[in-house]
Amino acid sequence: MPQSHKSQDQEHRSRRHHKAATAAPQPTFALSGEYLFTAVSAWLIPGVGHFLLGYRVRGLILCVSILGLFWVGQSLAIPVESPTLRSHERYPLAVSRTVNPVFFACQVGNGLSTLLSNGYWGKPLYPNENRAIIDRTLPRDLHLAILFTSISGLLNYLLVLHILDPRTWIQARSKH
Amino acid sequence: MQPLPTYLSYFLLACFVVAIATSMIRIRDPKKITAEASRFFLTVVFCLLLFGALITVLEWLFVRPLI
Repeated sequence: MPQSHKSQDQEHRSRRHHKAATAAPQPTFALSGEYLFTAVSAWLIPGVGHFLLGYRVRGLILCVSILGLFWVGQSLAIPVESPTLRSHERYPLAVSRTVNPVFFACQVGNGLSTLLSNGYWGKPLYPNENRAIIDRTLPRDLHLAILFTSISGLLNYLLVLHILDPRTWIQARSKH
Repeated sequence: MQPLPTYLSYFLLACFVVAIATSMIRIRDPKKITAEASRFFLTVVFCLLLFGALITVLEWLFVRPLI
């Protein structure tokens, strides 16, 4: 190898060493209690994970839009007024683990809202759905309500996956 | 409200939220988020209109003569 090439090579190496020595330390990722807490919070309330990571505006927008979609869905699932229904029986029907187990798996991505909805209002209207009468008090847009609540749950699964990704944490730490 | 406008408005709402949320997860720049969300939203609306037109034509061709 000619002498000039050797010296250029050495110069490149010394520049690389110099850059590595002077550059700011790269943020790293490690499993910690904070990581678990943020992930669980992100599952329980949409957008909170991003909020805790420092993406405040983004977290708020995601929280409002996803929870909004969920509760718009729930409001569509309130039975119509009827003389046969008492006022305390008019509660949203979109979330029910017993009646719609498959949709519940999607809805439960929303965490707290879904668990509360299922806990308070998830009881089936009829003990045996195969022998149920045709119920005209059922909300007209119940299918839309189930769709909305399921979509919001699935969207929150995406948010939780984004929070669980170590690259998100590294980006957030390098930002702040 | 009539069923069709109700369905359309609810569909647009769901589509808007999905567009915003999925864009905000992947992208950090607000301008790019807006552009990506609008693109996603308009694509879905266009596809919905196309699908609706196709169903109308099929109904006109095959279902209407039977009624």
